[in-house]
Amino acid sequence: MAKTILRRILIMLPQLILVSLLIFMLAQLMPGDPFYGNLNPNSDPATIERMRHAAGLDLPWYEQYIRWVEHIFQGDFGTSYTVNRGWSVTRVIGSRIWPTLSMGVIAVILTYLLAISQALLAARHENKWIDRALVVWNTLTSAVPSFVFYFVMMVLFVYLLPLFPSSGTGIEDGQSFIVNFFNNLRYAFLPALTIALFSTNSIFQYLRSNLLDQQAQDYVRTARAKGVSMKLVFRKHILRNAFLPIASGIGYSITGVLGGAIFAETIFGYPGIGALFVQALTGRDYTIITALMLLQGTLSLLGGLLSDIISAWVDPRIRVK
Amino acid sequence: MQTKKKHFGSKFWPSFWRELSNDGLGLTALILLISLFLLIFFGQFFVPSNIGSMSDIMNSNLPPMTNGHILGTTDSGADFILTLIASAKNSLIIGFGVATLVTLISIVFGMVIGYFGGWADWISMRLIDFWLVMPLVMILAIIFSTAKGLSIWNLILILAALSWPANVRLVRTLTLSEVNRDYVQAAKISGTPWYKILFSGILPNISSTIISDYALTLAGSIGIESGLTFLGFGLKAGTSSLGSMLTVLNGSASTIYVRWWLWVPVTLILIILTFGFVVLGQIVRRSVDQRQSLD
Repeated sequence: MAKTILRRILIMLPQLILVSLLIFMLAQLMPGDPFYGNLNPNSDPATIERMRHAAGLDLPWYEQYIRWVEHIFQGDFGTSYTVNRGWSVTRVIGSRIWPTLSMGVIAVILTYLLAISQALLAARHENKWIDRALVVWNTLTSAVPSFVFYFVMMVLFVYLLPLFPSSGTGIEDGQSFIVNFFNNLRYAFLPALTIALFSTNSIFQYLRSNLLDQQAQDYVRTARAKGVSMKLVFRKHILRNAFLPIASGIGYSITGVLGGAIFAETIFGYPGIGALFVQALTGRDYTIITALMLLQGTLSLLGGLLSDIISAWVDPRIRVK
Repeated sequence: MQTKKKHFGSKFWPSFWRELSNDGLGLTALILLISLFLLIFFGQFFVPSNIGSMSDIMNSNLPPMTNGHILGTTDSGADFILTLIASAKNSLIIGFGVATLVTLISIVFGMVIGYFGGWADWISMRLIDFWLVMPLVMILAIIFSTAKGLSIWNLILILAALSWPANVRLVRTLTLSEVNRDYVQAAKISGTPWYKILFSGILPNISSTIISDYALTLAGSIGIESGLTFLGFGLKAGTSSLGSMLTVLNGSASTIYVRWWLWVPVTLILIILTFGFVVLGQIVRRSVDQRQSLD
């Protein structure tokens, strides 16, 4: 097991370098330079040149890249230019990360709960109307871009049936952690539920076909022939075998949270990391965009790592000998 | 005695109609898609060429059923239905463009690396696996925003260039499951050249999944485009798409409730386009591969 994990971590190193190069390339693509917002028509060209030199912008790209990586290792991501002018990027992201984290955790839990219960229901009633309906529903939610459903949820649960507040995170600076936590739950629940409701498809389809496959296996017939009730076979054998591959998906679903958060946070007016990304991109706040991409890229790789470790842990056949 | 002439594909339509008659949802999807196509095809003749750059302030943002505008007007004063037709057309072009390009790339690249294997396959798969965990929506948003508004064709090229890895991976997996079959081995031994084995041997056998994947890619690219354009990073101003019609709702929650007519028709068209094509793709898949037929 230790060997498997070690090997997997070693694979991650070149991937991390690749991610940083990719993000550096994207940053180079963006027009203008970091001083873009600080200049006015009266700025002295010599001063601009001095500032560019101090920031190392006149160096060749590979030296700029190395400087950038050095700064990151020192925890220096630069300062924000437009979103929170003058704040360090770590401070801006730090102030926005908790809402997204709480929403993301609720969303992942709800996605799994909804998807698993739908799949169990569908597999127990194969080819009945409920199975067909659930398959159609999941095809629908995976085909249609989910942000249009967010409008529907917004109208339903904020305006027609005012159960949830319309915008904000419920987190205030002076409040204690407990108060903030419970206030935030009210604000985070609707976006999280909405994300979960429309992203069950991949887990649902995977688990449903897994369950159907397992039901047709010989060991089920043997157990039934011995007189074991279907309920018990389902719970003790089929479920356990079908769940194994699902467990490993958790790592990847963490990856998807930020991507989904971009739309949910924008539409529900929930100022977290996803909304920050849109805000920074609209305001051309490049230091924030770069830091967010780096965060998301690293999280994605860690998610993949986690998934592989979980699948090696639950299924010994995958481990390296 | 006369023998009936048989050729490849002759059994597609009968099985297509049979699948369709067994599937009420599929029939509904097909009818809605055909009506939408007719609406777009004939409606585009009524769309003024300057619909994207209109600025008729006197008539802007009219609610439905005023001044002869059945669904009202957009914020630039253009008729909502005509804008919807122009947008649906653009979204369709984007969907078909991206799906066609991506499918072509995935067929050629995926089958070749799956068939030959070796180090090229190994490296490609490591890179593809790496790319698949990257946040595509964020990367696309950055690239689109640096371009400050794209033309439809540039958008198609960028979207296709960045979204093919998932499809290549699928085609490669499908090819791998075929290469060790007896018919491929027999063809190899009898000296059939590799491109013939790939394109006339393996391709027809994996085509059913590729077809439904085409439909999924089509729906997915319409979704990504409309999503990013909705956020404000996408097509250039003046080129309307289903996403740009929703941009007015961005950042104002109450508009979603108060002026619901701005998003309900757009959403319905989006659902017909994306869901309709995915359902249709599944029906075509089942008609091509009768083993997957519903009964």
